[in-house]
Amino acid sequence: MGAVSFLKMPRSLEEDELSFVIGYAPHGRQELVDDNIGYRRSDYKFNIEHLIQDGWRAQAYGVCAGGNVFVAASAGPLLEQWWPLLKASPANSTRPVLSAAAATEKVVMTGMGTEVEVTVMPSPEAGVVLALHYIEKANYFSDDAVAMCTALSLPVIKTALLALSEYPTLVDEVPDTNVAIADDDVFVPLTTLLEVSTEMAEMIPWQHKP
Amino acid sequence: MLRYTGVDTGLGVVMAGERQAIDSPLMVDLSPFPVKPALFVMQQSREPKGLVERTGEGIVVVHTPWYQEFNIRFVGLDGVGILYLMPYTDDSYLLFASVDQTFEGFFTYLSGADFGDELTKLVALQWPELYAMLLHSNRRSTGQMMLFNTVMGGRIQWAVGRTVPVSQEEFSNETVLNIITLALEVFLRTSDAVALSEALPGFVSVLGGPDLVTRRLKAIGGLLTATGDLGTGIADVFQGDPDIKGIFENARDILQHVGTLRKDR
Repeated sequence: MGAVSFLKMPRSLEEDELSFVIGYAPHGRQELVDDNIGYRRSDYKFNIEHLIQDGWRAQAYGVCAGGNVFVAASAGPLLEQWWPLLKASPANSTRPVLSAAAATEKVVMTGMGTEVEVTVMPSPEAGVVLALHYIEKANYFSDDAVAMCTALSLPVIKTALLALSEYPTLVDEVPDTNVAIADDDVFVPLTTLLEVSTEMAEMIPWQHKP
Repeated sequence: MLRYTGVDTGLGVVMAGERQAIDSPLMVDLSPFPVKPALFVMQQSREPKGLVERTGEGIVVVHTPWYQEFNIRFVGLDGVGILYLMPYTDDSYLLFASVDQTFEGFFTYLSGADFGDELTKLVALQWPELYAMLLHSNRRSTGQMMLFNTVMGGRIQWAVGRTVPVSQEEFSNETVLNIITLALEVFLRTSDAVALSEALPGFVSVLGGPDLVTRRLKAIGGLLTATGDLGTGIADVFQGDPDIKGIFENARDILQHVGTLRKDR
């Protein structure tokens, strides 16, 4: 993977744009592609879009906020409304990631000979649940920070996907409804989305350490 | 010139025979949320999954961000009663049971221009409880039993229930049994052409005689005949092939059982 510089990424990302962890179909915006990863940025954020196959993408983003740099992935709004109930419920072995998150424990992901701690938490302002990992204290994205965000985007993405794939354990039956996954223009059945999140998670060679 | 027939339903004397008094029921719309349709008030068997809480009294509560679903097992009977508790206003919930779409066919006639006024008058006279529920629904009354619509999982359904204040932490058995009983009565009396004509003497002649009634009810497609033709209402909410005759028999048994429980209190 070559070094990607923040300033060399095309500025084709809106500041308030929050890409869902699963993307589908080309977004038509200018991007810098390096080693099968698409990059585009705003002033304080840049997208890291792993091109999987058949138009599917696994998406995370680096964000510089409050003097800190994080890499994060959005599990979308589906779980955000459940958070108060999750926090009030006992831990359940059928949903280890959500149980850990609800208990405000970090989710530990192992891979590439190392461990990464990922925080899963709701973002009420954005109305989504995020998986995120702290990179460093900084007010800008250095080349090293971009490289770190890229390298650690996969365990963060996998954590978001695992959280999403645990959604069926919360409901009696997955409702027959469609959800938007790309700029509100592309809708897929929720059941399809959950299948894709499980399959995509299996393709990422990081494991959840219980 | 309006024909005035005063009917005292406990709401004061009201102008019966005016379908406009009952043709705009309350509608509670959960379309923006990923929920499934409400379950019919009575299930033949049920093993709920998800965020489930089991109490010691044969009640299993399913928790969701938008409502709680109470599964109440009837001791000695083949069936589980289903009640929903849902936030309604800042200071009230709705506690209700669903009859799915089984009331829709009859309501189409009740609110329609052709027979609505006559049928509404008939209901007010012969089945005042139903008339009161529809009136309270139209008026959005608090604390009164209503027959109203819910939109859940893309399906418009009918429900029997009432508002309860958020300060109320528990519900009496009386309230629970009342809702289940009324819901089962609505289902049994309006889902069968024979039962409907028994509940509302004069119903058949208002709709033009027995052959026309049967043809009209079948055309609506929302009612079941006594022989067990499947309407769109009940069949979808039961998994597999529902035993319609069994459902009716179970409903009648449970209705009798809960009715006995109500009298004992």
